[in-house]
Amino acid sequence: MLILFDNEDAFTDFSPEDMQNEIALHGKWMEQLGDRYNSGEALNQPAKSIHGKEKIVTDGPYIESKELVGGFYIINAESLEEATELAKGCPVLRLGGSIEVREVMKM
Amino acid sequence: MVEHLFRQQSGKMSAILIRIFGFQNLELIEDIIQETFLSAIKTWGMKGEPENPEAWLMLVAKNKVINELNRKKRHSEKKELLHYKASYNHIDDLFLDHEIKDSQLRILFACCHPDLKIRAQIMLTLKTLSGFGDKEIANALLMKASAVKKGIYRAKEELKAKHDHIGIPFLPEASERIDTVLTIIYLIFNEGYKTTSGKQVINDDLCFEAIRLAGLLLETQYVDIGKICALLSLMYLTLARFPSRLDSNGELIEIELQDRTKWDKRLMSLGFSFLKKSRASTTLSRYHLESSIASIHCIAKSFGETDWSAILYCYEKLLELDHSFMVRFNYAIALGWAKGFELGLDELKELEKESKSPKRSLLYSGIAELNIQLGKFEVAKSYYQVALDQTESNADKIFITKKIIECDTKNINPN
Repeated sequence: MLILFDNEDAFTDFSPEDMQNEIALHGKWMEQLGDRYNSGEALNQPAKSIHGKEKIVTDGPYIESKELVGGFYIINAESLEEATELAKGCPVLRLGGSIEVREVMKM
Repeated sequence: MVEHLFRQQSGKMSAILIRIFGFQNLELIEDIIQETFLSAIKTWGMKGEPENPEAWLMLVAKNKVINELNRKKRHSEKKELLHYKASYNHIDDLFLDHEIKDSQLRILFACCHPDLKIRAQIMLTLKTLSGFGDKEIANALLMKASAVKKGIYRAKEELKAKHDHIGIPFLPEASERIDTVLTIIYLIFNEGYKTTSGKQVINDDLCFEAIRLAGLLLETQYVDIGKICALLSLMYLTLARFPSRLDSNGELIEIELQDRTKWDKRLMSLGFSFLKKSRASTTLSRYHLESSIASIHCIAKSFGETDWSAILYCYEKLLELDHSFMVRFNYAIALGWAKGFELGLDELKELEKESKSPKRSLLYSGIAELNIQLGKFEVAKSYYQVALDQTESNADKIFITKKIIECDTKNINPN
């Protein structure tokens, strides 16, 4: 699983044309992934966090950070290393975002 | 995905949203559009493009509008809600195709507000209706991005003050303002046409955007459709000849030496079909005359076969409407080719005395060129040298330098 942390500020000065180009880059990347792409979800920004036994609910994401989880991909790879190599092609990195690569536990 | 889809959608969305929220809520409108595109980047990036990207974007934008209205309602900002131009029930209608066209027209007429400076009108039109970003506008108009940003901000503030009534039918105003709108469209086209080297892609974009905007006007009633067709014809016939204007190094080629087989046949036939439609007008506008001139150039199989007396006739008529430097200059050149280069030169010398136009470089190039035709290469060279000193444009400098070398060569060996 690739967990994406977007740099939201990166888009502030983007024109519609820039946005469209950005999507084209994502499309290209997904094409490159081919069969190794499994699924993906984008996440809306408003978030709630629940903490501990008391189940205290707070507004906002759990991590105090400029980088927010923007979504995740599930890709098929032989190893964590291969997945990491693949993740390097993801366009969010270009704009100062980051990616956490994790292996989904198997039975 | 269709090329420039986002740009076009941005223009459509802002037209719809301005109708709903009014000009005074432009920041909100820009936010909604930006958020819509951000949603697209995220979800399409994760799951691939939807089948109908255009409809997807419109639906997301519409939902954001409804959320915004609901939010306002919840916070009991009723007073502000009343300011909004469209009531709840009409939101769906405004997203229908014909309403979108209508909205775009209204905003086009609003952006071309005669109280705004010409440049402000151009920038505002490109920003709101054409979906260009500040940097893209800056590139196209050879300005600094910061200057564009400031200029647009100021224009918006002015419009906010004036345009409370954007939702009210604009028809009575339309026939009065159509000339301003056509001028702005023509200027946008010229901006794309005149600057050639380096940034060609964006400049082509500008030309086609001008054509798109003019196409919108065809939907209006109560205005002189023939005049709009004349402008469209002029733009198509000019654009059709674009491919032969530059050589493989991106340098300007003079009209005599252009390869006419490179002209775009599709654009040319569009140009001619609009030329035909332009005859619907009862009065002759400058666009009628200029498109006729362009068509005469297009018909000629070679430069030598150009019907200069027909062109001269059009320029004579054009002079009656517009006595500006450019028209007088082109008239003089046409006169030279039609009736003798001495006569053309006399006109240009006259123009040199009378006109205070900053386009001195063009004027001296013209004088030089007619001297070449008369075989006076020494004189021609001296005029080209002055012309060279007076131009800022790189493309022009390269062109004029070539001409100076040509004068030297011909002076030694006239054949």
